[in-house]
Amino acid sequence: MIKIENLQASVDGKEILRGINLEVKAGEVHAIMGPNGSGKSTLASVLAGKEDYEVTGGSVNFDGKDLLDLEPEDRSREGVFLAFQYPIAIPGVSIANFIKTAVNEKRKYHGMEDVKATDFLKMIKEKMSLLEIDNKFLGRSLNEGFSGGEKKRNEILQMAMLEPKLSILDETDSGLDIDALKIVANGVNKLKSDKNASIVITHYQRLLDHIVPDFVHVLLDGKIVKSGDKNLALELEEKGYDWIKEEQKALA
Amino acid sequence: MNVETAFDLKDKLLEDFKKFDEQLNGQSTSVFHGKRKSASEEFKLLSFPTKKHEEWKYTNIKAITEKNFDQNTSDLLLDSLSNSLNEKIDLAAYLPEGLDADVLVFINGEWSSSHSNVSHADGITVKSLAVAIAEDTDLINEHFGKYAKYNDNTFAAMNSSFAKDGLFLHVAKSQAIAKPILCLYLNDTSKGNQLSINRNLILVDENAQVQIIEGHYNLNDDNFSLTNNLTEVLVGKNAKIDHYKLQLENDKAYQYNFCQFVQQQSSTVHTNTVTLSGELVRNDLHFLLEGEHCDSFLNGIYLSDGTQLFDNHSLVDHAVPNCMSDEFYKGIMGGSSKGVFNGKILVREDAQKTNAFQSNKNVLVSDNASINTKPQLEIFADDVRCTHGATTGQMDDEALFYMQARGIGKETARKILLRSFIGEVMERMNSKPIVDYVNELIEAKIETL
Ligand SMILES: Nc1ncnc2c1ncn2[C@@H]1O[C@H](COP(=O)(O)OP(=O)(O)OP(=O)(O)O)[C@@H](O)[C@H]1O
Ligand SMILES: [Mg+2]
Repeated sequence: MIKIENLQASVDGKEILRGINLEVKAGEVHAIMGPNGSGKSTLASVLAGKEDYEVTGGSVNFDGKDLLDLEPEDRSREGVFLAFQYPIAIPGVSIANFIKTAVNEKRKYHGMEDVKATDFLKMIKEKMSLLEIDNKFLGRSLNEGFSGGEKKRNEILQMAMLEPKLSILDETDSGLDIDALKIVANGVNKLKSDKNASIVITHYQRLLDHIVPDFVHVLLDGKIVKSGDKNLALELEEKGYDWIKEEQKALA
Repeated sequence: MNVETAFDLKDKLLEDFKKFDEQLNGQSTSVFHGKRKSASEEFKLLSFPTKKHEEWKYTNIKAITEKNFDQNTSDLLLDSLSNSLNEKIDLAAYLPEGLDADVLVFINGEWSSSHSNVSHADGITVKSLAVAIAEDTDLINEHFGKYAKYNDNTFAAMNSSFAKDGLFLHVAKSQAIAKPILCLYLNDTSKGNQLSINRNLILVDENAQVQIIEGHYNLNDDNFSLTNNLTEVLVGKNAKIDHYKLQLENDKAYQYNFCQFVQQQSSTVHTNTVTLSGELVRNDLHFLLEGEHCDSFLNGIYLSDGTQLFDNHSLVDHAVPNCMSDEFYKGIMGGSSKGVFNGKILVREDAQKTNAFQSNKNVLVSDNASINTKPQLEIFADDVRCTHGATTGQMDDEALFYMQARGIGKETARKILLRSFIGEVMERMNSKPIVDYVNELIEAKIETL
């Protein structure tokens, strides 16, 4: 589904991604872990098309298309979804209107008619109940005054409504209490199919207890330095990153 | 020898006044005309403000004072019999859909009876000021010119010296007007640069209620126009006013607008100023709260582009205790347009327990656009609650990216952000037809930004 080859990116002349290689196939869940500042969110932003980052090398192929060549909105319409680590508040735009606009922009891109208001309402209410989000949120301004956990749930709600091929969840677990974590993980799992895939960025095993990854990668200093199965995450939980850093030094 | 040849608008207007005065023969001893004469004396002493004037620091009116303007009577005012063209304006373009209102049309500052449509109800007087001067002389003599001060205000003195027509509205005690009053001020510049002077007097007695909408437009763009609009509003005890001013003139139009509200005990005023076009618009919006427990809401929206300059000056004078004022203005500036916001809140020594709020927020959508915003608090009482805030920012790139990442195109995202920015003010407006009408205009204006 997505093939990232030797991806390099910098911001303000500072190199942050230094040659990332990663392939994710349909039906797979990949976890990316790594210390603060290692470049996880940067990778997510570069894939989503944030302009601040300059891609200085490498390529990303998404379902046969050159992803880096697409505008951010077209990447989304093609099926890339980024659940932000820090979702933005947009005062004066209700969740319902925002999501409806997003859904219709995607439909238009694919040559489809606008969603019928009643169908939309039915669908969003369904997804909201799956994520245990109160109906009153529909009319609220997007992320304005939301608690940390509410923002994260709202991200997953948007994901559920947009039905992406590839979702990138950037620390969706942070700010969630234990119950909310289960609800969100359960929501993500329900959306899983053999046609879509996820990249889950996290610091903690507790999320991976619920969303079980097929692969775990360690990002260090802008490079994936180690990959393994779900047991790698358990090992990291226990030992931290120092041993990997040592390994890297030894290699150098 | 030094010969001064530069055109001087003030001299020309004084000349005009002289002619006007001479023409009046009979009327010239009336109380009303006496007031005009005093105003003209004041006008003579004043000069048009330059940027040296503290209140006009950011608003250069040279483009106005360099031009010659005449108070031409529009051919559209001739009644249909003598109007050889038998021409009538299609008002549809100026009437908000779904608004069932009494309509008063003023063309070049003169009431057009053939375009107006006013129903008559008990206890309510709605008519042209020119007619009221003759018919409601006592009321006019008692109230006219009493509330809006023209000392040190050249445009107000100018308006007061030429005052002859506009809206006269009197709502008697405990009357609630079922229909809103819609005043359309239309400039016809086909005969040359046009000076349109509108003068309104609104008296809302105890317990009465009224909704007033004012719309400013140009009928054509042959020449320049200068609108000088002055409104005095006396809001009686417990009375309620919902007021809208829609400034929609064209880019050859200059407008000076002065609105003075005087509020008596427990009265409520909502005033909404929407400025979407006109080359230069200056608003002086003044409130005097002279009775306790009054509420005043001042909402404002301005969207400018090109070389437009929209200047909103306001003064809320808390003269007595226990009143509340809430001012909320938002603007978007594009092109190389300029905005000015100056909000003065005066809390006098006696005005304890005053609540005064003020907020002005701006978005600059182009590098060449600018805004000068300044809150001015003068507080002489100690037990008061005043908050004020002014912000100016660019488009929020983070929000734009967030929306793009959800598949919303950049242009659409930009518009949604601008619309929602303004939406916060729109939410404070009560009239559904006006909100719909304004929303549509805002939508169109945002397209150009
Ligand atoms: N816009 C930016 N301007 C300057 N530096 C940036 C910018 N974005 C990221 N960086 C820097 O790039 C590095 C990687 O940041 P990134 O946010 O990708 O880390 P992360 O792995 O997501 O960390 P965390 O676990 O704390 O979320 C950091 O040193 C960060 O300061
Ligand atoms: Mg991060």
